[in-house]
Amino acid sequence: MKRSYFGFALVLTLLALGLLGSTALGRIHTPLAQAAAEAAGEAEAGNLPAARELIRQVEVKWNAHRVLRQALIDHRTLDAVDSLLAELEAHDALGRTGSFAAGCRKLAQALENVAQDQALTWENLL
Amino acid sequence: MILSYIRTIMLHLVLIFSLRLMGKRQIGQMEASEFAVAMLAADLAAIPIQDNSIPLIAGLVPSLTVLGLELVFSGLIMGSIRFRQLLCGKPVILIDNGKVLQQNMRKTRITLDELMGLLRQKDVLEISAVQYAILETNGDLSVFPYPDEKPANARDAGVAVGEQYLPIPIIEDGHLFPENLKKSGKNEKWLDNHMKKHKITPSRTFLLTVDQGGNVYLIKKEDGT
Repeated sequence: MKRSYFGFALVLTLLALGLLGSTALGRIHTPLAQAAAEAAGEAEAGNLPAARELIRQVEVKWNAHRVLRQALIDHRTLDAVDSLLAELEAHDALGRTGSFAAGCRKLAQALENVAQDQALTWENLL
Repeated sequence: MILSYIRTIMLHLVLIFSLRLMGKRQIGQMEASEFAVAMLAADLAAIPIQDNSIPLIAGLVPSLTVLGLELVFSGLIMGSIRFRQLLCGKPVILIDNGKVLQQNMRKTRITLDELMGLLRQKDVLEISAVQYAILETNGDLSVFPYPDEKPANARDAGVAVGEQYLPIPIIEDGHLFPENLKKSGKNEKWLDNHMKKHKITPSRTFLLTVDQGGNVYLIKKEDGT
């Protein structure tokens, strides 16, 4: 009987950790996705300094939770975001406003994908 | 490659721990659900080994969840007959008092060829020699021949036999088990005397067992081992 109590505790613990992980990922990355979308809007409106600053903040927060992300999400998804951030840097350095704005949109979508990766939704379950 | 190597070790340890927790059963004795769990846990654990981009947790969480559920189910099986029947099914009688129950065979999808094969595996050549045959929940067939078809035992022959005792291993492959020595009611002095008598040391002993009847069994290690 003790083993079944252990099993019960194990299942509940895993459930709790799963829900915690899913919530944490959503809470961390949804604002980042929103900031990247805002940056895209600013870049499209021609306000590059504001867009640049938003992307910088996104990058800082992105780097802050690296370990959690790598423990929970497919590394290919994370590598895609890292690549987009590097691309944005390049577009900014070369003064390509249009590409910068498009890159910000792509980044916003990629960050939204990260936020939704472990979300408890029917789409994910199916 | 080093990543695959370390991941494999980690997941292998988790699998061993999981199977150990599930309890001591051989594959042939597992219920269908237990077998499915063992296979599933192994398959799930292998996912991060095959692809380093997939986090380790993607193999650990499913394996541990499956283990946890199995432990919960096994507790429920012990506690509830209904749940036991739901998960494991019920044993089905295929031969009842010498009569082959064809309906039960259809129900369990056992053909006559399969039944004959299972009987042969139990050293039964003729179906007419079987009084009862029961298909157990793990797929094994329990066979009970008619009394006059069974090999005679000591009681049938009216032969008095001695007591039977469980041998306790004192030394296995050169390793001494002091707790077993104590359990067998012997001590180090007895062991020393026994070793001297056989001109051998514990490290050169392959097997030494003692039982409550005082019977001692010794096998020496072969040269070169």
